[in-house]
Amino acid sequence: MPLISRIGRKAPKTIALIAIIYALLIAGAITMVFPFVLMISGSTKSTLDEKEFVAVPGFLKQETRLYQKHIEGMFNERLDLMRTVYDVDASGFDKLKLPSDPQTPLIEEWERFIHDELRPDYWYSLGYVFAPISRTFPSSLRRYKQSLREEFGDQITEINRNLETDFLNWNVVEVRPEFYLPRRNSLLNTSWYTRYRLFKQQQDPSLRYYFNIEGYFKRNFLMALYTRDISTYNNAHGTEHTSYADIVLTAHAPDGPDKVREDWENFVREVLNLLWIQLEDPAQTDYQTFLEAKYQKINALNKNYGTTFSRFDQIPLLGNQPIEGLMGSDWNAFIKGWQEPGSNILHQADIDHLRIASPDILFREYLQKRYGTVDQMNRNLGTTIRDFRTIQPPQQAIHYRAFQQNKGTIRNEFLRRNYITVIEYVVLHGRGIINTVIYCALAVLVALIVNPMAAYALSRFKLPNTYKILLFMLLTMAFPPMVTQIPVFLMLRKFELLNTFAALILPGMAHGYSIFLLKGFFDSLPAELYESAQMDGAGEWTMFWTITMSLSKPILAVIALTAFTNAYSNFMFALLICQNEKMWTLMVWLFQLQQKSGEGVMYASLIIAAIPTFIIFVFCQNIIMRGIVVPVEK
Amino acid sequence: MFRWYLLIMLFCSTPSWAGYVEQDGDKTIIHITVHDWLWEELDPIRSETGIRSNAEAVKAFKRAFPKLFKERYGVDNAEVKIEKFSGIKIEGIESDLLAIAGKMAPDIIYLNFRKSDTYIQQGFLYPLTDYAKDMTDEERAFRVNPKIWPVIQRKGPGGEHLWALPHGGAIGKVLIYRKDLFDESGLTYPNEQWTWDDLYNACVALADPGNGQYAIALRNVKHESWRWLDFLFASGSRVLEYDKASDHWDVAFDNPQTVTALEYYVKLCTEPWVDSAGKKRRGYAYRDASYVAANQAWKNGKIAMLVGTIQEDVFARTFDPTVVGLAPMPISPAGERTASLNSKMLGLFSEIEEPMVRDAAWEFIRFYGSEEAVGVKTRILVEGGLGRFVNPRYLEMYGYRELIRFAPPGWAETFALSVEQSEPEPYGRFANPVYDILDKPIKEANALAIEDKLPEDRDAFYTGLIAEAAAVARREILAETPPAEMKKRRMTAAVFLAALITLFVFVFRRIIRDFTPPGIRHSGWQTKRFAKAYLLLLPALLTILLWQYIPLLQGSVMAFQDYRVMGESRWVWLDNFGNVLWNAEWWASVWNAIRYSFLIVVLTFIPPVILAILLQEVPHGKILFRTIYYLPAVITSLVVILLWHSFYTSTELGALNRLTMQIPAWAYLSTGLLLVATCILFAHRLYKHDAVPGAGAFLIFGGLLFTACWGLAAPALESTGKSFLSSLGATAPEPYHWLESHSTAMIACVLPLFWAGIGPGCLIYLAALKGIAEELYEAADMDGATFVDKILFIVFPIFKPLLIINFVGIFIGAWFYAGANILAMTQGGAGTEVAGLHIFYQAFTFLKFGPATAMAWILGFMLIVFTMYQLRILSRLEFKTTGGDETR
Repeated sequence: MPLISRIGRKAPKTIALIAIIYALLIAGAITMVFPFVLMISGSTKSTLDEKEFVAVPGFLKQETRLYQKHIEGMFNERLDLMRTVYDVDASGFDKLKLPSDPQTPLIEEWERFIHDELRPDYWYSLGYVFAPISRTFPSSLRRYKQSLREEFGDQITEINRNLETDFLNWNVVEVRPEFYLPRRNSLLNTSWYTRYRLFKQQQDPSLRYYFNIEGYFKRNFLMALYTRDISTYNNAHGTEHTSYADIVLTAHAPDGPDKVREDWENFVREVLNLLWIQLEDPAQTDYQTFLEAKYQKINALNKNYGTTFSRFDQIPLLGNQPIEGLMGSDWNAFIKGWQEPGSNILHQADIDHLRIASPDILFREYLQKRYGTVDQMNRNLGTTIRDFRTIQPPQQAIHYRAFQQNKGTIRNEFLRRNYITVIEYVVLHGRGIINTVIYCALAVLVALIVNPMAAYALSRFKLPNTYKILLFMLLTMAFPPMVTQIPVFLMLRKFELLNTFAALILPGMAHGYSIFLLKGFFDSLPAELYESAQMDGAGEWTMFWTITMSLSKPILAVIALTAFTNAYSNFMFALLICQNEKMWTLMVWLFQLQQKSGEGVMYASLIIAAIPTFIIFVFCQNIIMRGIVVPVEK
Repeated sequence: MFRWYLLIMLFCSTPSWAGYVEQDGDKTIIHITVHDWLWEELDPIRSETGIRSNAEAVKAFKRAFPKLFKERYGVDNAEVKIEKFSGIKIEGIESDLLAIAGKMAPDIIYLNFRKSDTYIQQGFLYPLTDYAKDMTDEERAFRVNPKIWPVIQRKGPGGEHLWALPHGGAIGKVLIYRKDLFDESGLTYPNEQWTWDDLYNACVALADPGNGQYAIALRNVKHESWRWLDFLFASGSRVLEYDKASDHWDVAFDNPQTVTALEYYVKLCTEPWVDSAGKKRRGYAYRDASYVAANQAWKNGKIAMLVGTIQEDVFARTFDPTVVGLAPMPISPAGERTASLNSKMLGLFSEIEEPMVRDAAWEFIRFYGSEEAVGVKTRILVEGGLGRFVNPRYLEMYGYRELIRFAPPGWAETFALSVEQSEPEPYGRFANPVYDILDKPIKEANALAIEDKLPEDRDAFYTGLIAEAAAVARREILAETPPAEMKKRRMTAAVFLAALITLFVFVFRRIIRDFTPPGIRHSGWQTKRFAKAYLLLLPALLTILLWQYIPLLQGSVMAFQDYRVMGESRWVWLDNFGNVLWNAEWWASVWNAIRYSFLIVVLTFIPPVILAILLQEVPHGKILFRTIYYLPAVITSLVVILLWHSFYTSTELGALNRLTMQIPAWAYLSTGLLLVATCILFAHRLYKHDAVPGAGAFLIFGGLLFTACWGLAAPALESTGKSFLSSLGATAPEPYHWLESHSTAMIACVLPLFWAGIGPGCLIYLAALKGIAEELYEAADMDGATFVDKILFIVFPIFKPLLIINFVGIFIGAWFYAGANILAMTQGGAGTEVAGLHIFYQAFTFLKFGPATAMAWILGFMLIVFTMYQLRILSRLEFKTTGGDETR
């Protein structure tokens, strides 16, 4: 019943008053809802938009944002990798601009180049398999896990047995994208990665990024040595480049200034991954001499290499294929240079025999072979390239084209993936759900029995000392809770109750104020009901259930709801009382997840965790309203 | 039947956190649990090379174990399993001490310098002296840096002992910087000649908070002084000095050098400047307290420098040397670069029950840092391509000489410098509280700086702060209180306790009288007659007795003891009370609690009442509104705090700043005027009906609200420097530092509670409103009552008991249960350390249960009157539901 009287509602004054009330309520409602909207929008975050606190995520509005997020996902959140592959300066994914001319005529050439011959799968790495910073499960990783489940079933132990891994559970299954640029990273040939590479080959080619050796050379080698300032480089080399973009990495050692040649040599001999290095045929004799110097007898070599050569001069050069074991480390030594002990002769591949054979450089050679001259190529493709050596693989254009074709899917991916991550996590820790259910059920059950029972006893029987008992129960309100906390904890320890549901339920089983409230309410129930029931010969227990409890359903609903919410959201206890993982409830697990994940996953988990309480409130609010006990003066 | 059995099973499941011995046929399998920090560095499922190297060392230990254990302990066929000790971690909360006190500790404990003393003094650690007897001198020299000896070998319960062993060598401090950010700003990289001025100039050039770019990470956390320590040491100052002969520690930081260090630190954190966009900025440092957020900002290249650690065995395994560089700490004006020295240390838990588990755990500790283990680790690191980060000394030792030349240039020298010019982090008695004490000057100065309130004479002001902190340190932790002073304190305590007891007795008698129905005569318990009733009451009564009264008694005993969770507690009788009553910090926290409870009342008690009345009035959409207002309650309370914490980001990128910085001054002022007008309206009606005190209260309240709104508008009004009228349209000139500034921190802690509490809070008032009979309103209408009149003279009188009960409940709650949310929000910084939180820290961080309980009782004493009042009201009430359907 509103305070504003029904009569005279049409009066302008009253209308104005109601309008003000609506305005206030709406303003308040916005304040209430806005943080939720931020949360929901936050649940789609990856790393680059982490600080973006807006109601509608930027990537839904701006194409650039979506593109940036896409590229971030493509490069598995590794900025340095993006810089080398695109050979660009960008201090963050969020600084990327949409490519101006995505329709490079080179795209088709590049695709043909990739498809023409069977290119090895280590040439490229896959996007969306790893999210080290936002800690979510990106799409390729999810597909990979799915394919593993299809092949090996749901048991993680099967994966561990078949693929020689030791994953604790499906949640920690991860793939580190290959990074075959520095020498120390050798080809991953474990069964786990072999299986992954199989998967990788089956994925859409637009999800690949190919290693760009020139970018690596400039950004991780030259810039580390000569800083980003091109003038430092020019001073050291006596060159007059206007920017690093002018510098090219040639397939063979350049003839140019000594310093330039020296850089090339150091890079190839020491830094570059062996996968990209070939030796020209004339190097074969040197290689054989080196091996002879090292092993002296061909049998010794055969034993170590597991080969059956009869003479050293039969040994062929190794190509730029992956090589393992001793053969690999000898190959490495030959390229780096190896000093023969005793004689101190240096065995080393001649600098002019060294050759880089990487995707970017081979692509240039491919174009040159196909068109002969630059002019010819420019005529055919409509390009304006001055020199074959300045051609970069059009990877950015390909990624952009794929982006434009799949915008919907990409947007969807960002909207969904954090939620999927949380759900997978929750399903995995199913024990947590069971614990939550048990704990909440016990809490509700106990709350519905212990307190009403005591209240019933106090209300039904005119005990001589009712007020003393009530006081005994109510006085606890005056105690500072800090005094009891520690002894309660020590008592739980003494009774060996830590890490049990008992420790969660027992100490809070009875609550003085609730008993007092219930007693007050039970007192207001008509006494005639009990009298007539007694005449019918009903026992105390029957009366308790059939009269008292059934007449108090709304109140009991409120009590049950409170007990449920408290139990459901209680996770601080885990800090002290239940440190054992086996006892953790859903909330504890989610909290644990939030501690180690990015903001996007955190918000998603908050929203998922809020769903049960929200549903209960929405459906039960009428019952709750009827069950609220209001004190009135006697 | 089966279900009950299941329940009993659940109740009885045995805890399993300690190690144990298992017999499997003729094999003896020894399970050892290790602290999760240690587990993280050797977790076998992780693929990072650094972690694999440690895991490999563990494997080597397991392989060597059967033979070794037979030789040394004569046990055949022994096997060892290393297991993770499970426990939850919450950022910013140090729960380990209490967990250990609860005997929920791993067999192998991981400890740092700061906490080592607490661990030793509380008897958590098992002395290693006997075990270590057969360690050779070379073995000791290999793993223990000479500077670390005094930390691990020292006096504790049962005399001087070896308490822990380090592994991984010494850990020094270095300046870690991002080359890319330095390049972008056109700066030269830090080098060993760098001074404080160079660092400062670089900070000035690098910081660009408007674009989320910060120069250096100096997080505003609890125990921030741990970071400041590196500057304090460099300034030539020291914290504590130890005189071994007399086993006496003394305060050593009250000197002009510390003042320089403070001034420098505050400059980096909060010096005002104007950025290229003309926005006013404070400091150059990244100040957010969250470690996770800071870590991500660093990874994303948003922070240019860190003061980080460099470890002896592997210098830095997570940094890419093409992007990240290391330099020695900058040189202070005193010509020093001394920073703190640390080491990872392992010790044995004192209460391991099985001797065999303890032996095995010791062997693990011994092996894990041994020459053999380091050899294994080095091999894996080299094979994993991290060879160049390994200390050249080890490369040389284990035959990888050729790798030395690949090491990033200068790192070995940097490490050597960092250890050579270092001081062990405070580790002695009271080292733990020292950070609390050192935090004070930093936090105070920074908080004032943010509000432009630093006094003109900085030097004198800083000197004063330092002197104050030193005095506190001397008084609180070092020197014994002089006997005369102690006597005075005991006297006060005696008087206080006498008053306390009298008051309690008086209050309880009053309450008993109120509750006793008139005319009742004592007639015994009549147990026979009411057996059934007592039976029904039993569970509740027993629970309350067992879990409320008994702990209360036990807890109260603690207040008179120097309580120790392990070992004997000493009776100190009145000393705890005496010390607390004379403790200025305690009273400061009480003052904070008063401010806090005031805000709580204003923001969480009053709004639900208003909301309920408004909701009652709307003809349509009541349920929708009610659902919306209830929404925040579906998120767990601590999570609400964490959510808001992220909204409070102190740059304009933060969600709340983004909003408030768009609101012009006139909006705040007109809101204030509206509120005042409303209050005047109410006061006017009250005055009309001769309720003068009520009218006065409304006027005062209105004045307070207007002052608050004025406070919000003030920064914008003052920013333009123009006349009042022309600056009405101005917005706030700089983002609010919500959690760092004294003027906003407390309200920032309360706002989330307002947000989450208004919806659920209004339900009970809505229910009460529904219970009001329609006739009352109709009668009022007849009398020509206005809307306001009806609120004042119909609704309020009926609400009165409910309002009082709720008020007292919320008020008491504000005192008793404030700790958790403030802890998560500010950790007690910027004047938010309320009494409840103070007690929490005393108890759970310092394990000073005695004083903590004494404080809790003093709180109880202060609030007893309110409780009494509440109980009196309760005794006069009856309870009803108002029922009814929703459409009304």
